[in-house]
Amino acid sequence: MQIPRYSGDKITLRARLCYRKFSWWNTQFSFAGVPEAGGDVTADYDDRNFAFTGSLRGVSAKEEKIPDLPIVVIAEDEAVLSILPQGSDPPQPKIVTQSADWQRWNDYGIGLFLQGDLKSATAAFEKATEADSENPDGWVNLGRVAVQEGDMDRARTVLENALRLSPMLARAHFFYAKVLRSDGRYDEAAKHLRQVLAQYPRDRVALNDLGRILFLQRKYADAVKVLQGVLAIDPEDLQAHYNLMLCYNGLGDEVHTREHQIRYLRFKADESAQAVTGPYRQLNPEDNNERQAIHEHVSVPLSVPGMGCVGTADAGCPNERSSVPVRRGGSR
Amino acid sequence: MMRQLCVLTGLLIFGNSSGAQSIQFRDITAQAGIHFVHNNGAAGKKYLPETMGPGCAFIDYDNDSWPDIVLVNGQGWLRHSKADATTLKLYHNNHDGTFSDVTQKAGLAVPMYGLGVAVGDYDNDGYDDLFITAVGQNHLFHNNGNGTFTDVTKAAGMWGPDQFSTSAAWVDYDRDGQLDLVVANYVQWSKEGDLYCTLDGVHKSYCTPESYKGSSARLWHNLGNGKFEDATQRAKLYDPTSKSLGVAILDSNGDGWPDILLANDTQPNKLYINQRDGTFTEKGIEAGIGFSEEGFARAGMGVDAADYDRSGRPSIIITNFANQMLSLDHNEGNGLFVDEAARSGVGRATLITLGFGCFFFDYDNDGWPDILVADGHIDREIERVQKRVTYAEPPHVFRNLGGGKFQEVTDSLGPAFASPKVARGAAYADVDNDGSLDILLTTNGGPAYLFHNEGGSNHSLRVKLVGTKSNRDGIGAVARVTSRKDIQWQMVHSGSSYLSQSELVLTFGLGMASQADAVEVRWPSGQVDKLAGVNAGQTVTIQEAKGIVARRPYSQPAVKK
Repeated sequence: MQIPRYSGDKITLRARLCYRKFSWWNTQFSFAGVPEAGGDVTADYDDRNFAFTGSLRGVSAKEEKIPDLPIVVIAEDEAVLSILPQGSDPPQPKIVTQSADWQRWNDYGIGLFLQGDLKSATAAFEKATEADSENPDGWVNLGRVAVQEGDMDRARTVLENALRLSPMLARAHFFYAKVLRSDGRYDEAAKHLRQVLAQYPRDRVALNDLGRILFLQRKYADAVKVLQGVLAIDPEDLQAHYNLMLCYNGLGDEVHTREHQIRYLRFKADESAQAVTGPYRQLNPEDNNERQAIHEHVSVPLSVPGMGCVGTADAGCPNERSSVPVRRGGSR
Repeated sequence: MMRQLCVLTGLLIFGNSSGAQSIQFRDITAQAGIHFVHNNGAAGKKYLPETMGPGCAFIDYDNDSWPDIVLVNGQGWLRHSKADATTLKLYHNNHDGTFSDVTQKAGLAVPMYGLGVAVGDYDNDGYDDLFITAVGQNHLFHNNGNGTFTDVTKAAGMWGPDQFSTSAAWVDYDRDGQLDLVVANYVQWSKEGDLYCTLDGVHKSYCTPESYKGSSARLWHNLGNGKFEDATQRAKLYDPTSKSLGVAILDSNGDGWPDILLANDTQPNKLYINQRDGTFTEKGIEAGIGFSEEGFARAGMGVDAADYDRSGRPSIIITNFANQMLSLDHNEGNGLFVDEAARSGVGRATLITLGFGCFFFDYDNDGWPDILVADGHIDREIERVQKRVTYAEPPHVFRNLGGGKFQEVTDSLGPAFASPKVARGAAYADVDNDGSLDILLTTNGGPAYLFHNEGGSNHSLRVKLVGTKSNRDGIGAVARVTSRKDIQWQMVHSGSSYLSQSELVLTFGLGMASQADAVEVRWPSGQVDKLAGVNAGQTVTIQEAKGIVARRPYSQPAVKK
């Protein structure tokens, strides 16, 4: 950040996240858009200009004037930065984690986890546990990431921490069952899942996991009972139909095997569907960029070399988009 | 209960008597004269095929009983550069632990972006031929029997398909005595249609195959006159949604007819059951091998099948992506497979690694098939976003303890072997006739490795089959070896692993036993040959309906320490 020369000894940064349901232009267009003369219209595009002078009569919203949609502030915050004289030694960064910070680090970690950035999510959840080591949820989330990463030894340790702090915590039992199951310790895993189900008997995910464990133990009839419990909650549960198909196959019940196979195939996503987006993604690199689990938004003038390279592999584009300059006002 | 009794018996015979041995896989690549480096063509564009290869194979192309080596190679995307002009390599086994590059002399220096290889004698002339898969045109090389090969792709009727082919396997699916060919295809990809993907939001990475349309596997039916016809549709194998990387041939239901297993990447794996009338029926979904436990398709890579627990039935291993365990699908004998990865001990160790080549092989000759998995991630940038997943990864070797349990022993097999690699293809053979199986690994954009198996003391018996009414290689024949009260069996098969093929000679570990009490061979033709009292310490050649026609005692290891 460039600091103006005469800014004093403090700078206050204020940030607001504002939201309006529809853009101004779209709202005007929807209520009163009238095409001007000229401009091509084909099956593929509409190149006409529009004026927003049309009559509102006949608009299904039945408004007398174009609504002025409010802009709502969803979140805002501010931070005060100290300004030091030019040339003075910068102070060593000092991150003080306080218990009040727990929620922030935990929410940040969840966001990173859902984004697929497991490495950063782990760091954030570690901060959460540092902020409040007595809060079991931070440990559970660390365990959740470790399970996702396949680091079962780490998962075991942190989940045992969580269970020590909160012996009845269902989420800790759920993920601990996953650790045990990966070791083939099916009986113990089932025991922990039953602790979850004692508190949340209609938890489809836990029921599905228990059903799968019973299937792996060749306890097909028991698994059928548990998995039918899933279908009593959600008749379209994909995982339950899949494992019921296998259980009935194990029981030699061809009729029910077939029945659940048909339902499974009915509700299952078409794995090949994503390929349909390939040509579109190639033609629309900005949208392709949005599709990447971890991606950056670069806002720069179109004249900047490499701008057209976002989300594309075209010849002449740099492989490392971090080398693309970002002008003032740009954001990454 | 019967299976448990069998397992217990086996444990008493082998598990306790032979025990763990101090076996090392010593890197002999350099001293063997193998100086191969894979050219994946990578120059920053991150084109999808760059991260896939290469495959490798053992072939005794000159019938001297010493396995030779094929290493498949890619090439650059700009074909006018000399540095890009790489081809596959054929290394001749010199019988003394060294190999010689005979590619040019053999006529195999043919430009292509090669990926996989399958070895089989398709014209039953006694010399194994080569099929090389590629991005673009695949190639069939006929072995002329004089140390040279001829590209007969056009003459065989195989010219034309421009696909992204991966693994392949020879199989006599209609049991007419002529080897047919299954070719796995991956996705519809071209340089022009290559998509941008990123792992870390900054660097381009290799896209996962969901982004591209699938491509059906192809079945080439051998017409018997040096020509093949495309029988994919007629055999009901056509499935344009498939994104196949691995192919294994197994007799899943024990009916004597070969079935086909395709490992698919982000599509369900397929198990095609032979209907004995020239057609197949897909049964992978209800068999439980198609999807993960949640009912989602996994990223299947390599595949193999063997009877690892003396159930009498072939079970399956399939390598998957990082954060997906190796699948160890146990054949229940009723059309159902149950994944034993977690309970067997192979699951945890394979959870974070990305496996490609894989096979069952009895590396310690204790009579129980062990497992090798060749690992390596597809993208160098993976370490930026995942803490524990690395680009180069150690391979896995799991020692079969009996009773359906495995123990990882990789670290005990030597530092060179256990070091991290970006491995892809994997194959095994006894390269120096010492009765122990050696390992060949390829790495993506890197060297190939030949590891010599040293330090074992168990006995073994090697069986080479020569068909007469059946196909000459005996592919599809099942050999059963009885030693004391223990029975083990293997099927001669092409394909398996990933882009690779192991030798066609079968190796049976006999533990401390000095002979096999009985050897029975069931040929695809229906012929059954029975032999009694076959000594360990040798390779026997069994000819269909004739019995043993040659014996070759093991020699002292030719590989110098």
